[in-house]
Parts: sequence; structure tokens; C-alpha cells
Amino acid sequence: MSTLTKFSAIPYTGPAPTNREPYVPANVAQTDARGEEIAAKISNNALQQERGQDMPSFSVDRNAIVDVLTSLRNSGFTIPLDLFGVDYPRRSGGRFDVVYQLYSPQANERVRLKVRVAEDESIPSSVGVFKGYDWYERETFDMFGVKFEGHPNLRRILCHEMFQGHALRKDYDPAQRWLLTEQGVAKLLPKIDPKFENVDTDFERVTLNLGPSHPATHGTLRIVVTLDGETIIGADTEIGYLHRCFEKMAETHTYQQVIPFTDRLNYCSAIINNVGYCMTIEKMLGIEAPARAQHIRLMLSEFMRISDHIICIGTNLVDMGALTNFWYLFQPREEILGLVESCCGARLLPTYTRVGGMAVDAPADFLANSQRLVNMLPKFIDDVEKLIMKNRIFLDRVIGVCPISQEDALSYGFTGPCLRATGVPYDVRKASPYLGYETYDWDVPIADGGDTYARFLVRLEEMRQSLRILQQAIDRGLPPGPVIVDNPYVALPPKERVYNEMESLIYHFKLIMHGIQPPVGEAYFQVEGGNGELGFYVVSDGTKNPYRVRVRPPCFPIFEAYPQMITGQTIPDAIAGLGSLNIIAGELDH
Amino acid sequence: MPAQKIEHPDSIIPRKAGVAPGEGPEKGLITLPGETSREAEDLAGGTYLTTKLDTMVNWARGNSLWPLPFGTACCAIEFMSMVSSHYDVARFGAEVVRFSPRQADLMIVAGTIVDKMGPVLKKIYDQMPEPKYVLAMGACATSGGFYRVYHVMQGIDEVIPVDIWVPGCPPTPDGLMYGILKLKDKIERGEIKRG
Amino acid sequence: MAITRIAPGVVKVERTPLSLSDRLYLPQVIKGMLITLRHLLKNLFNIKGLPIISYPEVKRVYSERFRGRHILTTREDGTTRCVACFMCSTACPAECITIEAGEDERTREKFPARYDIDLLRCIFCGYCVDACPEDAIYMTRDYEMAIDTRARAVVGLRDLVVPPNFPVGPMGWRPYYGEMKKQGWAGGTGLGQPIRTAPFEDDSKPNPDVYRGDQ
Repeated sequence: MSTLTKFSAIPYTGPAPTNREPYVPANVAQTDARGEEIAAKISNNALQQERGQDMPSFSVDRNAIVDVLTSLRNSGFTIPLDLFGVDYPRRSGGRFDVVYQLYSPQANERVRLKVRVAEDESIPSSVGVFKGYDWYERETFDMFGVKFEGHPNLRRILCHEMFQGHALRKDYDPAQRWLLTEQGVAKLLPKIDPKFENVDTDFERVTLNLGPSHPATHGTLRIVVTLDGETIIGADTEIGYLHRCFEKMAETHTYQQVIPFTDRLNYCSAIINNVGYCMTIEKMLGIEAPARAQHIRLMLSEFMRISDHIICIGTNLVDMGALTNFWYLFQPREEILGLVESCCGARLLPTYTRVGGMAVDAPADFLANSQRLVNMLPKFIDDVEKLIMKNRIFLDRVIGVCPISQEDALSYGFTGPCLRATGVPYDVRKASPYLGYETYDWDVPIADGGDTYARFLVRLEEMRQSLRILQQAIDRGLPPGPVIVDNPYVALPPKERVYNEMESLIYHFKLIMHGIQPPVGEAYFQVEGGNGELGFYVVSDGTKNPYRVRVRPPCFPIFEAYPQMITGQTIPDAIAGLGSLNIIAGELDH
Repeated sequence: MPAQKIEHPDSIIPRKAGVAPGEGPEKGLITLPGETSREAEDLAGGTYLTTKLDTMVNWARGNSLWPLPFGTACCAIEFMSMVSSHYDVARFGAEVVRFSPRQADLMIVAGTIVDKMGPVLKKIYDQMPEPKYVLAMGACATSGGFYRVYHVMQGIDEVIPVDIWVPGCPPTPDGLMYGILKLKDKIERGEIKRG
Repeated sequence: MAITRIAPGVVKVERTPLSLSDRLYLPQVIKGMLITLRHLLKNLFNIKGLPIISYPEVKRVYSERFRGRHILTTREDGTTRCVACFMCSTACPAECITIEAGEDERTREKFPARYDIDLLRCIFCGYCVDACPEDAIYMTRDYEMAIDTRARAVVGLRDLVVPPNFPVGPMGWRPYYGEMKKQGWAGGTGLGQPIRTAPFEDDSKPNPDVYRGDQ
């Protein structure tokens, strides 16, 4: 056993919060009406509409889930966004909620299905409907112990092999660690693709392990490939080497204290995570950040998106041997981090936003420095484009490498640049705008083919589009006013008042000790992260700690498709393809 | 001497002429534990008696640290910043980043080490040839940071010895560089007896 | 890459076919080399324009909001401003602050008998500073921390408390919400007192306006 001391989360000991009203989303009548339409279209007896939710919501009998998912898929809900569990240990009639969320790109709407399941019951596996649900079901099994009948490979995914128990169950002690020894590490043997099974070549078949500490896997991914000569004929991946238990930590910390944890999900674009999480809580509280805070959030989000793409392109080119681009790209990136540091005092993981606004106002020279950066950046992007985009050595290594078809990408649940590289123009900023993205003039870049080259093109163009947004944002200037809402139940009062007034001091103490207490209910909110739709699903029970925080990590389905993408390719191609997917382990393993 | 601010045409990052680490105006006022006591030790005649050859060897080792970045998470990104253009660790002979443990002598553990990664870390440390040094970078690698939870190792000293600890979440590239300089200093003094 | 608009708000990035000279490898390789050469020459004749910060000879000046190592401020009589209210340790997501409260015999005031910060656990989020109602904990711009042993990383009152005349120069993250306060001195906000204006550069000396000697 470990040397870890007993977990010392502070249990809620104060008076019972009085604010235990149910959460009522905005325009709930419309959502309910839309839900009725969908239910009429599906017309399945096992479908029961749940009213008063923030998106059309249904509870489904567990035996009918495959039918319902199939008919939803056929009526346009083609992207499987998420599948996760929620544990209600004291509830009668099924302890776990297994929640499915789907998205329809045509109708631009989301739908949520809930299946109640008891500890000893199992759910039919829906891998046959959506390929992407393979890993999600494994994760739900790992975290909650919910069994999925007919799942081809139902084993742990995030926790290690010698782990016992199911970590996200409410009765699991957060500090209970299990030791993994070298003997306990599972041997992986990839399944050979049926296409290659009967192909007889002169070569011996070799199974090769890449990672987790392999320069090409960026540290935290393990890929096992079976090679026939140079060709990969079967591949398997293992993740969880950076499983930092974000969701369990969120349950044991207050709403404000979760913000630093969200930083560390996608650490290349941390502010976008902050914004996504804070806006989810703001949605539950029914408040909106002041205009000035929204403007700062938007500008820093776009800078962070550029920085995220810079890391992706830069390191990917390093993997392919083009080191120069790395130096050229990291120079402006360092300047972007300098801007972030001047705003909030930390370079990479800023913890800048708060629920209801920003921690502090942007510095006086924020706009001037942003303008300098926006002037500086195109030069570097152009240099990189000139260096590689007509260089045949580079093109030969990326064109047609690790492709994925549009159909497969949708079925896996791709979002973000990887989906847009297959030709689907889905971007959360356009589809359901937040922070005022709809008022800016910009375009969603798409490309054809879904190969590594297409992902390159999309990312390069996205950086330029972000610069366009930034230029407009700078021209508009920062709106005057405060940067955080004036609500003592959400935001700390100004320090001057805390020192001078008794009432503000009491609010200050109360907010630190008792935290933010959103109304009871559940909400989902999504932003466009560096890699795609970054969503947070939060269940509140009215206390200071979230009952459940689920992050929808965009990398997760993308890396799930990786074995399929590299089958039939060679190892150098696989490495070039892996870099272009921009797998951020912190987000992948949450 | 008052610090001079340096204007840079292409950068929004302000900078100034500094002084050696541990001697800046900021440092004179706040000291970390250990720094003062070590100075006292030095005044008392040092703790080790080294021969000239040892001094030479240690000097060479300290100036050619080839790092193996065992980077798993956010700190690895800051490590990348440290080797890239703004900080450029090549100035201290540590630019040869080797991913093969056989060719490296400084392991920089950058990022959270979870229980699943523990055996891997141990194995890679064992594969490194002597002399080998370990720098634990950032809150997660040094102590688990704020992840006191079921799947995170509470500091890499559970599995491997550590020579220097750099706090920060993540440490800034210059903070990490300070750690490397301090380790170099330690090696040159002969305080780490290995190999 | 060529860009065509295919729908409102959607552009398609097309692959451009390579021309004959591009397909011959060498012209494009040479073009790429020229770009590198341009950078080389630009840097060679403009050493001052290099982006490098030659730490430790040149140091980066982090902003006044930088979240570095903590300090505990003192009142003018030399006692710590901290009243051991446990706000900072409650707000800390890493739970790295350990406080034991004591009571002053003379003034009957609470004070921290023990105040430890585990620097290795600390994630430098600044929540302790935000949570402090007494203006007692600040963060400095000091990032030069490297520690020999794990035990030494736990810093106590001896290492955290600064004298009352501590200058504003090395200060980083300070408590402010809303309007940013440009000036101030680390001994507290100085409520009811005029706040001294001091530029960063020459502020390493004790401040005569604030320092009152041994009174």
C-alpha cells in the first residue's frame, strides 16, 4: 500500500443551504416542445420524456437503448458526443444513471438519454450503433462497474490493471490507491485486421510496443502494433498513463476550486477550459459575465487556440524531422504566453477566469500588446507555410497518411479540426455561439480527405481565422465596466470593501467557507476547444461541492479511432499521423 | 547597481539585466531554507574533500548534462519552452535532449506520474547508465500536487531517488533553469556521489 | 493552399497541385534554405534583436501579477498581519497550508503560532491571496526555487514573514478585484494612509516613508 495519508477533504459542516431550488433552464418550454417532436418521431414505448432540462431529454428502458439509439441516428443524430455514468447510491430503482448525449449536425441540436441501471444489471452494448461508444462504455465500466452486454472488450481503460473497485462510485474513498507492479502490467496483443489476415508475405509478423515513454508518443500513450514487414496489420492502444482523476477531484472540491483542475485538462489551451467550466456554472446560476469579461475571455481563448495549434504543428513537424519550424513557431507562442502572464501572473496554467467573470481586470497595455502580437504572428505562420507547404519531402509524408472517412469520423464522435478535415463544417462557435462569436466576421475552414495533410491545412487556416477574430476584437476595444458580476453569492466582494465593511467581510467568509451553491439540477455547456467540442456536464445537489462533473474530452474519441487509422500504414506514417491529431494526454485521460 | 531595463523590438516580454541566481535584489530579502545553512557549511570548510581529478570530472559532468525529458503533462510543455528560442538551455550544455535512457544522464521528470506509469518510470531510471541525476519538476512530480487521489503517485521518490526538486505548477522555464543550474552546482561541488 | 468559400461562414482549404519545379524537390528545398538563411543573417547582424533571454545574466521581468513564492506581511510594529482565520487553507485546492492558531498574551489577539506552506504541493493558483481578508499573504515574483530535500520544501513562519518595510518591488499577485491598484506597499493596503508611488526599478531599498526603524 502507499504512503498516502487519508484524504482530507473538508466535509460540509455548516448550516444547510437554503438555496435548494431546482434549476430551471432558459427557454425550457421550447426545449420541451422540441423534445415532444423528437419523441413523436422515434415513437418508441420505452422512451419517456423528462421535462425541464436544458436539452431534449428522455429516460429510456435499458433493454431498448440500442433501438432508440439506432432510430435517433437514422433521424440525424449522427455524432455520439458522450456516454458516462452518474451514481445515486441511495436512490431506489436503479443506482446508476448512464447518460448518452448525441448531436445532430443538420438540425444543430443535442439530445440526452438516460438509462437507469442497478448494480447487478447490465445494459446492451451500443458499439454496433456508434463506434465511438466502445471506449466510453469501457470508461463507464471502469469508473462505475456498469456492465455492457455484448461489448467486445470490456476491460479497464483509465485505471491500471491491479486496481480494485470502481473509482467514481460515491462510496469509493478518493485516497484509496492500489499498487501496480511490473508483473501486473497487462500484455497487449493487437487484433489483426481481417483485411490482412490471409495475406501471406515473406515477412515474419512482429509485435512492437511503442511507449508509453517513446519520443513519438509524447510521453503518455502506449501503442502496440503488429507488423508484417513494414506494414501495420493490427494495432491496439492503451491510455490512462495520465489519469489524474479530474472527475473525482471535482466532487471533493468546491466549485471555485475546480477551476485550477480544469486548467490542467488541455494544458495547451488552458483558458478555453476555464471558460467552458465557468460558463457551465454560470448557466446553472442563471448569470452572465459582464461584457468586459466576455471580451477578455474571447480574446484570450483565440490566442490560446493559436498557441494550441502552434504546439500541434510544431511538435508534429519535429516528429517528422523538421526542427526549424519548431523554433519559428515557439517564438510567437512564448509571446502569447507573455501576454497571458501579464494578465494573470502565470504562463501556462493561468486560472484566470472565475465563475461570473475574471479574477482581475486586464492590464492597461493589454490591447496594445495584443495588437503587437496580431501583427507579429502572420509572419511566423507564413514562414512555416513557405517552408513546408510545397516541399515534396513533407508532402510525401503527409498526403494520404492516416486518413479517416467522414462517415467513420462521425461515428467515432470526432469534433474540431479533425472532423473539419473530413469536410464537416461543425464548429461550436458557429453552431451555438457563445461570448458573442456570432457578431464577428470569420469562417470555418474545412478540407477534404481527412488525412494528415488535411488536418495541417485546417489548423493553419484556423490560426489565420483566429487572427481575424482577434483583429476585430482589438478594433472594438474593451467595453468599459466591471470584470466580475456584483453578486456576493458568486464572486468575492472587492477587497477594499472586505477590509472596510462588515457585510462584505461576512459575504467573503461565507463564500470561501460555503462556496457557490448552484440550484439543484444538471446542465451541459460546450465550447470549442483546441481539439473540438469541450463540454462540461455538471450535476448540482445544492451544496458547495459539485455532485458530478463530467468533462467531454474531444481527444478521447479521436484517439480511439487511431488504431483504425494506422492499420495498413507504416510506423513513420503512424507517427506523423499521431502528431497531427494533437492528442493532449491531460484531456484524454482526464 | 540598479537593474537596467532592456527594450526589445520584437517582443512584448519585458526583461532586465540580472545578477547570478540567488543574488538578485529579490533574493536578498527572501531566502529559501537550506540556502543560508549551506553557506554556513561552506564557510566552515566544506563537507567533502575532493581531489583535483574529481574536481575535473565533476566540472565536466556538470557542464554536459544530457537531459532525458520524462515528460507526461503540463510541465513537459514548459520544458519545451525551456529548450526553445526564448530560454535556450543549450547555453549550459544541456541541449542534447535524448529520449533514450542509455544516452542521457539527467532525468527531468516533468508532469504527473500516476500509478500506472510507476513501473515504467522505474524501468527507465534503471536503464540509465551511471552517473545519473534526477530532477523532479513541478508540483505533481515532486509530491503529487493537488492530486491527492486514487491514481496519482504522491511524489516520484516513492520509486526513484531525486536529487533536486523544483516547485511550481508548472515552474517557469527560468525557474527550471535555476534548478538545473543548482544541480550543476551540486555536481561540481561533488555533493552527489554517484558513478 | 487555396481557399474557396463554399457557404456563408465556411471556407474550404483546397490542395494545390504541385508545379513541375516543385516536384523536382530541389527548388523548394533551396527556397526553404533561403528562409532559414534570412533568419540566420537577420539574427547575425542584430544580436540585440534575438528573442533569447540569457538567464541568469538577463532576467525576464514578470508582471506585477506574477504568482511566485508567498510571503506573510507584517504590521508596522513587526507582528504578522495574519490572524489565523484559516481562510487561505480553506480556499487552497492543494491543501498545502497548515496553520495552528495561538493567542497573544498582551493584546488577546489570534496569531499564527505555526504557518507552514508545502511549496511542493502548492500549485501557485493565488487562491490564498484572494481569500485573505487581512491583506496578510502576498505572492512575490520570486520563481527561483529549487530545493535539495523534500523536507526543506515546507517553509514556515521563519521563511515567510517579511519585515514591515518590505519593498513593493518583488511583489507579484496581490489582493485586488475590479480596479487594479497600481501602487501600494507590501506592509498592507495602508487603509486611511496615503499610498506611496514607487516605480519598480529602484524599489529594492527600504522605503523611508514607511520604515519607522525600531520604534
